[in-house]
Amino acid sequence: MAVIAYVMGTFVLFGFLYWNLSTWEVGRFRSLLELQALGISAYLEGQKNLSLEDKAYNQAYRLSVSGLFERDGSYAQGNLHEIPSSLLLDGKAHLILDPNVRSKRGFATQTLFVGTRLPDQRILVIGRETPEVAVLEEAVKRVFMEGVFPFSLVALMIGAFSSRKMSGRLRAAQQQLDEIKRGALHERLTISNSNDELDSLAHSVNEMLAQLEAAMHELEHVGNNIAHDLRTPLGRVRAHLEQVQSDFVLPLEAQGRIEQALNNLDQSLNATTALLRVAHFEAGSTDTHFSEFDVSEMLQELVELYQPAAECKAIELVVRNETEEFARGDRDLLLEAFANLIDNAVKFTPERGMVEIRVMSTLQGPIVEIHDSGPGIPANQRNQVFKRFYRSRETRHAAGSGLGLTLVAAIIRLHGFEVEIKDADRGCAFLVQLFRRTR
Amino acid sequence: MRRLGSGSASASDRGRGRKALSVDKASQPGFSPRAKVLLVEDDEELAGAIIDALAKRQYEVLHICNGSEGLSKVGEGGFDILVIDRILPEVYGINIVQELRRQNFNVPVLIISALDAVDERVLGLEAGADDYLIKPFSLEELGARVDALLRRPLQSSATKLQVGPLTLDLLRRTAFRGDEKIELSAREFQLLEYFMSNAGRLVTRQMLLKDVWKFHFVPQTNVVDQHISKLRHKIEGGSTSRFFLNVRGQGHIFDHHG
Repeated sequence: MAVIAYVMGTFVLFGFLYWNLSTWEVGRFRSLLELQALGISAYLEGQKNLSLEDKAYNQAYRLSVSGLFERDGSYAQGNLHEIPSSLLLDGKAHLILDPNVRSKRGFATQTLFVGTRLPDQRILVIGRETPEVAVLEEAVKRVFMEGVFPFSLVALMIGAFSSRKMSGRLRAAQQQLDEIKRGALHERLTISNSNDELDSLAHSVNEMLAQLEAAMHELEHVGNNIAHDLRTPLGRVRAHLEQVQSDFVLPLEAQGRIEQALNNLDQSLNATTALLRVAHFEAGSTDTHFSEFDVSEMLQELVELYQPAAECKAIELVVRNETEEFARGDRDLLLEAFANLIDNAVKFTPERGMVEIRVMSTLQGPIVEIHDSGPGIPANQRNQVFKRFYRSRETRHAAGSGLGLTLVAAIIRLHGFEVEIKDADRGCAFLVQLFRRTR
Repeated sequence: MRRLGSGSASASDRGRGRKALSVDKASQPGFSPRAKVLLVEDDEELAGAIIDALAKRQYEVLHICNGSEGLSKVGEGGFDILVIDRILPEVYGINIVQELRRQNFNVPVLIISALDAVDERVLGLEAGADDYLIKPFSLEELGARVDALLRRPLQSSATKLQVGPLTLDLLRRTAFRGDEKIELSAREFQLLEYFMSNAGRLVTRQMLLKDVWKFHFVPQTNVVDQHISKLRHKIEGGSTSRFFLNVRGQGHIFDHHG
């Protein structure tokens, strides 16, 4: 764009320069010639035998052509044998292109003519070539053709090349950033060594990534340490409780309390486990166990697992799929995510309700919809359900850690997939896109 | 992991005491241990509890505290099963397993670990471990898993399973109670097969999810029990026979309980 504007600008500038100079030149000649015509006509009065062909005369006045004609326009003398047809005999200079008049250089030029009637009604026509204007035009043309045009062409090519290179670099950087966004935190932007703005930007981004990566590693490390330091003593507590339970004959009430303690212990352990896993997934470091798998088959397995639970509440639990659909991901993790969604759907659907799972195929990949006939989720709470420990007021009494959907969201995000809650006529509909969105 | 001064010393004494006890028992005439277990675990308090639980199941247990000693003990051979902590001083449990498999030792290995990310589980199994248990686990679960690992080779040769009046034909995929045929779904058949081949022993929900469903997570709702109650209804229904014994909070023991 800039190159085109530059070429246009040069073009206009040269045009303007040429136009200005040429009108100025022509104007100068014009007034000169008019004065000369006046002078000659005054001189010619009464001197009937003056020869217009006199070299000295011609040179003195620098006239290219001159001719004296009788009052009817017929030739009398001089090197101009005919009055140019379009010439007005008003004593003013007119630019006329006369093919009969050729310059010394051989090209046809515009000639300034002044025609005037002498007091005795004879006609005097003098003309002057304007080779200067032609030369000027020629010079401008040459400068343009030999200088500006090739220069602009080169500039245009360089511009196109560098902008192609630049947009290529930007595209590459974009791809790298996408990769990083998907969890490849070790990736860095390529530095081209051309020391331009893009390079310095890439440097800053890389530094930022290094810091981020270090922080993530630390987080993971801390997470693993917490896991280890927390589980080990809790593991001992659990073992002791179990030993007491089995080693001693306890009153029934004591047995019950130990049972309760074990349950609570397991619950707190499940919550820490879920939290750690969410953190682990959010660090996005699990990318190694991805494979292609049959989505419908996976859902069928889960429906089979949950069928007795649904039957207990007389809930109809079905999978409907249009075609065989495949997705790429960690099957174990996605199985767990969908198990959580189905678990939720069955839990919150009242007796004799319905949980319908549909696998839909789109051009980009499969979408799974889990639709239940439960109470649904109000629109203003939909964003919150995927947050840690969220429980709506209505569901606070139900069992669970409140981390189920958080884990679902973390697993889905880890894959670069998407999950959303859709408006449904009744109940609640979760939509899971099993493909990465392309921009 | 940090040792806890005097507390841990007494715990380790206790651990050794238990070990001596089980070995003593083993050396008594008329007592033959079911199998020899090598336990490599640096947490002595937990190790004590594990030894205790396994000894109750008639296992002879040798306890080693660190990885390198564990590795050399394993090399000597003579153990039927290994229970190894994932993270140990000196040599990691996972490296012990790798080394063992490299040297073509086929002894079954159960890895126990406080790390539970999916990656870690996969790593453990990829290294050549046969099973994986996440801390903290119930001692019953551990015992049940050890039982199951030691039973594995026997299971594959049988074509018919029999528990009391129940017969399961593994080739024809049919189930009979006496002369009466029981109609089972494919999953119910698998479940019953698992219970019958583990008759008399505790089968936990985690074991069923892992071995029957091949799922590596524990669902929030207790869906396994609902499958079991359906199965129980089919095989006990209309008769006085009782097969499933519910162990509260643990799982079920399948047998002909009369």
